Amino acid sequence: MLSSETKLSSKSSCYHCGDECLNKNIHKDDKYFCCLGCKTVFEILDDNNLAEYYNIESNPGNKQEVEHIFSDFGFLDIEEVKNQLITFSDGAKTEISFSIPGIHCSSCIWLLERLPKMHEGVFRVEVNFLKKHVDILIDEKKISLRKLAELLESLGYRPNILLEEKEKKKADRNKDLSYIYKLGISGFAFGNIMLLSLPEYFEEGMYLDEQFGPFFGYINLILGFPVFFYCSSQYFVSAWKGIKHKALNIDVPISLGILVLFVRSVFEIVSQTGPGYIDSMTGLVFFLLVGRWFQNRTYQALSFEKDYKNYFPLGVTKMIAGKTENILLKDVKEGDQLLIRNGELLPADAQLIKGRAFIDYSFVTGESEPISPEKGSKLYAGGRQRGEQIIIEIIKEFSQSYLMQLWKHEDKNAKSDQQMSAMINRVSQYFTSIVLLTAALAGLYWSIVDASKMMHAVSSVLIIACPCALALCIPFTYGNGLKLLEKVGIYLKDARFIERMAHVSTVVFDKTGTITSQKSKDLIFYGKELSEEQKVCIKSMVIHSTHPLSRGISEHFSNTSTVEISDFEELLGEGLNGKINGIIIKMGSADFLGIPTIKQTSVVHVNIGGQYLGYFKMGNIYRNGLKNLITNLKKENKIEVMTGDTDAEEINLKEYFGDNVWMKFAMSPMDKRNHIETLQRNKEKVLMLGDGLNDAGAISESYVGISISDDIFGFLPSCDAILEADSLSRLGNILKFTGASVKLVKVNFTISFAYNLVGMYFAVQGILSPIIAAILMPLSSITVVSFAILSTNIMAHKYNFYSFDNS
Amino acid sequence: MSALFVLIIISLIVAGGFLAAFLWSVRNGQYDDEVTPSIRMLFDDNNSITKEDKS
Repeated sequence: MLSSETKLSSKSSCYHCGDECLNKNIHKDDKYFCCLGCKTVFEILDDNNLAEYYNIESNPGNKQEVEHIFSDFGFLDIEEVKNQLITFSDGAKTEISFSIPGIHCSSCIWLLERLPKMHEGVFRVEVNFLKKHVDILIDEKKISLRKLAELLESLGYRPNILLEEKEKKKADRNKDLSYIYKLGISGFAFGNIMLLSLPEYFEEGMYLDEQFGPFFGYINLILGFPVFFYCSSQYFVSAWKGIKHKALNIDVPISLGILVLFVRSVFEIVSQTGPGYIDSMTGLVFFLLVGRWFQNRTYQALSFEKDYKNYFPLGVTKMIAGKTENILLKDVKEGDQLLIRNGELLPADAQLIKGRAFIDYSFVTGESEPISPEKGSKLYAGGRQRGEQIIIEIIKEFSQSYLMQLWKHEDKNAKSDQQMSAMINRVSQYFTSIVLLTAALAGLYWSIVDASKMMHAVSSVLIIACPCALALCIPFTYGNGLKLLEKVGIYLKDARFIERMAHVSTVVFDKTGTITSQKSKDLIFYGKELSEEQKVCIKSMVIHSTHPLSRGISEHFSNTSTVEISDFEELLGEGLNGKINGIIIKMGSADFLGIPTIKQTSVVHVNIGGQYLGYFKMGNIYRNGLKNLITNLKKENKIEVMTGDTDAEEINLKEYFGDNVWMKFAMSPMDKRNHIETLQRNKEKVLMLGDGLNDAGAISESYVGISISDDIFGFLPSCDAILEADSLSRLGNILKFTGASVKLVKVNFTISFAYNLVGMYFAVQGILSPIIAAILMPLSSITVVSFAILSTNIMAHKYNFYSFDNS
Repeated sequence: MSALFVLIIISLIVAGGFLAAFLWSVRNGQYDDEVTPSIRMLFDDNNSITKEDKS
């Protein structure tokens, strides 16, 4: 009966995307593809003489499934959306930019930049690889935005369209640029002033001709002007803000130091009583700016500014008197009737009007079994329709829906938007007071002993106390820490979170997707043992389906061959139907096969030729190294598990977590959030690890919220850090590393205080000369910076950041 | 010695020119993307695409 089979001799990979080819029938000449979608892309490229794409890197494509539901780009026809996306237009040429997360290799760049060869309406494409971003110049008369987006999607490069405020983007860029301008100008001034001040350093300028002293002084002053008025302006602004809020932040002594340096230098140079300290001042500003720049370098392609809106389509299809119209999601009103196609998200709470609905709420609850509501029943935002298209009537606006309530709470980060850590602010309180006190005492002493030296001593104290080195400790220690953490697969929003992670006391895990892997292949068959022929039948069926369970079964039987089937039919949310040599095969849910059984999730029942054989069940696979991680974490932190699932897994969980770990099952997203809130009210500092939108509320509420993800571009809104799924086992070491970093900063503080003390020794005696200042300041900065970088690297070694062994 | 005055001023003007060039290149977006051009230049292409200027 199985004569027409095509043997799968060895595993072969798709010429386009590199996935394993489960069906050997999809091929063109000697090139095999995993699915028809990939083959289609190949054909498009081949027709356009762009097959070179495959020679640059092997299997460069993004997986393209023909059954894949193409997104609806209809909203790109809306004028308002166009205005947001178009960066420039003069009628003939229009420039737009898209973000394309699918860009991953040099072949991608090659292909995308050759788009003009495929369509005459495209003039030029420029890819930014790191930002995963393209700028495209098109003729709108020949290709509309919508067509362009569809063209990109047909090649496997689906543009991710976000309506960011154009103005905000521009302002961000200008802010970045002004940092670099400031860095450039202060570096320029610093270098030249050093050169001109050099003669001063030897024997108090005895080699200097008398006329050169003032000349060099004035040039220094001119060069110092832009540094004082432009480059250091942000420190004055920040210090002023601090004083207004009655807080002595680190910028207060810095600004005071810069101000005194400048005023005294102007005085000395103009009155020709000395060479001034312009060299120290520019050096100081330059080092400080380098420090800020180092700390603020962020991950280019990752945007932490995501919010829930990014998960919903921008536009929806509205039904008006039987006709469809594209409107923006934000314009959806109560009572509107919307058309929802297969695979689209429900944008707001609604009522089912027409059609058979299969709503998959996995996005919201983590529960993957779709439900099939009756006509007229209430549907919630965030559910995904599987199957035929339905019509719904909106009963609550988008912003009022249940899902949105989770985010309604105030953002915990909004209040403390300061870049600096809590620690430096605490230290600087004391530091500033001590400096001011010392200056006052020195002034008092000299006013009694020798009034002529009083001003000199006071200003010297303020100059030498300028906490340049102190201000550099944190940017360099944490900045380098961020870089090292990135190496092990954790991406922090900014440096503050290193400190926060170091103080975590409780670690809360979500279950599904966080500690279990979604790429589960652990499949168990319950029933009589399957014969070889039955296995062939099952595999022949599932290779035609893209459902995750079908894929799982097909991978499970990777060595089994396949045969031709006829009358194949896939009923979404129900199962598969097909015939092999006249024998009817049915696979799918219990309802579909008409079996009375307890409802279970992730189960596929099998019926061949009218005989019920049993069912497949996907097991939960726990991520590698979980047990070690738990044992490690338990030593220092409290651990809890909360999940939206039933308690079916409790015994397995206990095996990993031990008996004394708090666990709670069947929690709603709101429950999770409230639980975190309760913990934090009890002075616990909670680190929450989650993966689904159902955890988002809890993540945003927690002290440190980490989103765990197989794909770092698909993380949650409101998270503070993203952890690559493979790096979960390293979490224990990551926490230890952050703890060590905080200690290193403290050591570094001590070093910089020591330098300040030495400087003070000269300053209070009124014998501080420009040369001492000029040596002491760079020296202390360099010591602090090199200590910061060296010590964090050593710590990284200690905690195995460089080993690729994830256990 | 007065030659030194002139020379120092000239040297500062030259250095200032380089600073201006640096600022201009930053503004012009030459540092916006440091990775893609390095990959792009390795492609062998018989008929290279001509760049059109943004107007």
